[in-house]
Amino acid sequence: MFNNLIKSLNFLSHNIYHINRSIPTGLFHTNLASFVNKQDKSLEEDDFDLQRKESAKIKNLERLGSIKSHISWPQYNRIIYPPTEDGKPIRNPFVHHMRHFVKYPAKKMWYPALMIRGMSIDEAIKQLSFHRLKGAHIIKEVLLEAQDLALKQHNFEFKSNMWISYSTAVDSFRVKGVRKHRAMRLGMVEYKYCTYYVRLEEGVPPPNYHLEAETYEARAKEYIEKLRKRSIYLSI
Amino acid sequence: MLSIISKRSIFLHQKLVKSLFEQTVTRTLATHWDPKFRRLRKNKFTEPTLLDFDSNTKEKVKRGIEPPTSFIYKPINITSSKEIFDPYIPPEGDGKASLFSKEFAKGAVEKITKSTSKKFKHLRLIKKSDSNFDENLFAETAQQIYIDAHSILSKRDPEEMLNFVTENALMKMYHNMKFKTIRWKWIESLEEPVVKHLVTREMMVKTDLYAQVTVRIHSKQILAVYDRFGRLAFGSDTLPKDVLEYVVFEKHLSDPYGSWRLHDKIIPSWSPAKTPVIRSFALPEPYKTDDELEKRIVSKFKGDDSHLEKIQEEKS
Repeated sequence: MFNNLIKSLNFLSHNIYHINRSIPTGLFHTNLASFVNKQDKSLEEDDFDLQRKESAKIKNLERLGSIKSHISWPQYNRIIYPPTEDGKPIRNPFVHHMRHFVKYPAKKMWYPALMIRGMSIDEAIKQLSFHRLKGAHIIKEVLLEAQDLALKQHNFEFKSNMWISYSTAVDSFRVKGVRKHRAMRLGMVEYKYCTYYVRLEEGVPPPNYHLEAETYEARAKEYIEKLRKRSIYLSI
Repeated sequence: MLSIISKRSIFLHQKLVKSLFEQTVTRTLATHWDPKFRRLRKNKFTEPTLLDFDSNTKEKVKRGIEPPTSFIYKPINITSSKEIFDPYIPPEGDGKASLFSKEFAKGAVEKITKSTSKKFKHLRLIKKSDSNFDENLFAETAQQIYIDAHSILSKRDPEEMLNFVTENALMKMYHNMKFKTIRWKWIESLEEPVVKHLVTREMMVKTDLYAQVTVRIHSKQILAVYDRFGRLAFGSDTLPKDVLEYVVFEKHLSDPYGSWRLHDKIIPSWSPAKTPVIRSFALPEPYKTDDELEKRIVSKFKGDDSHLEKIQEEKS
């Protein structure tokens, strides 16, 4: 009986959108037997068909704006700044890097990402290698990749002369599954994916990265800049 | 956990046994202190159909899944070769010493390349397609092509460059230049350009002919390379430098729309060392070459000048 339940649960999870929410408790098995006989084998899908469907869902969500697109972030690495007369660059050199579709919930990934902000890269790698969560080890791999990129492609001089100015983890999409509770009760289970964004800049990290935004002067500056950024669309 | 005891782990069983206190410390705090029914609870969950974003297509092909087909039929047009036919070996004291000095006499006899004796026959084949081909005039036009190609480099437009440069040279010039700004200036030529070597070769069929000409160019140039953020990475914007080069130009003779284009440069072993890059960097790992791949790659150009003998037979 228990094995039959498992098989029925697996079938349910694949075709859950066909079934009504109101399932009568006593007639659970007989209803499913009728579904099983009507199964069509021509509708079986390969792994690649599934992936195409999921990628189509992701693209639609990106168009709507509920997921940040994973193309615009590394495009910042392709901007070319012209040389100046003084010799000093217009902008502090930076590198963008990311990893998308990581199988880890964004809520948990956010904590080590918050810890890293404002640290130099050596200290960040040290702290992450002794962190409790699994997401910290994933972030460490991403940081090492970004370090290699910066040295080889973007003309950074020293390996340890970098610091982290932007790091967040964001929801990307979820896959739904089913679990069984005590007595003929079902529950929804979500398998969550996230993306992780990083920006590395060259130089020594600023001394008061976390405290700068908390002083009254800094907050007043931000407020005034917000007001001055406003613009009226389609105006003369 | 303790139910899985293999023969190997019986010996280490005492080390594996931990007190309950130690177990809680090593695991995260979100687990129960006595997880009795973990195995049975696992059976209540369905197997999710999670997608593999980390695995490559090679692993999927092993499992029997076909890779995605994005195959578009495109016409291929081969207009350049990847190699230098019969490379010219320049003499050693060329840029430094004059003809009548000791250094030139010591080790600087011009080494004979394979096909210098057949130079006039190669010339005859070139004149079939270009009736107005003159060696002295060609050297000046070649210098002008060289100047045009390098001055267009800073614009980052590969389609414009293909008018002056073959695909082989574009690969080498354009690849590392994409995210940098280059400032290049031609000041003057110190000596007249001279044609040193002429070669023609067939590609598989008698009617496909390619011609290559090496020209010696001695000049003064300014080069400054800035990286992505506008910082000087190589050279200088004000100091000129003397440059001695042996440049190879190529033309596809059997193509009615073919033209002479910059193909490659010959760098002799006795050339002086380059100026160093401004910033310090760690040496990368040496590039590993696949020996098996290189054995399979065979050039489609013949290594002989056997197509020249047929000209005399036709005349006779």
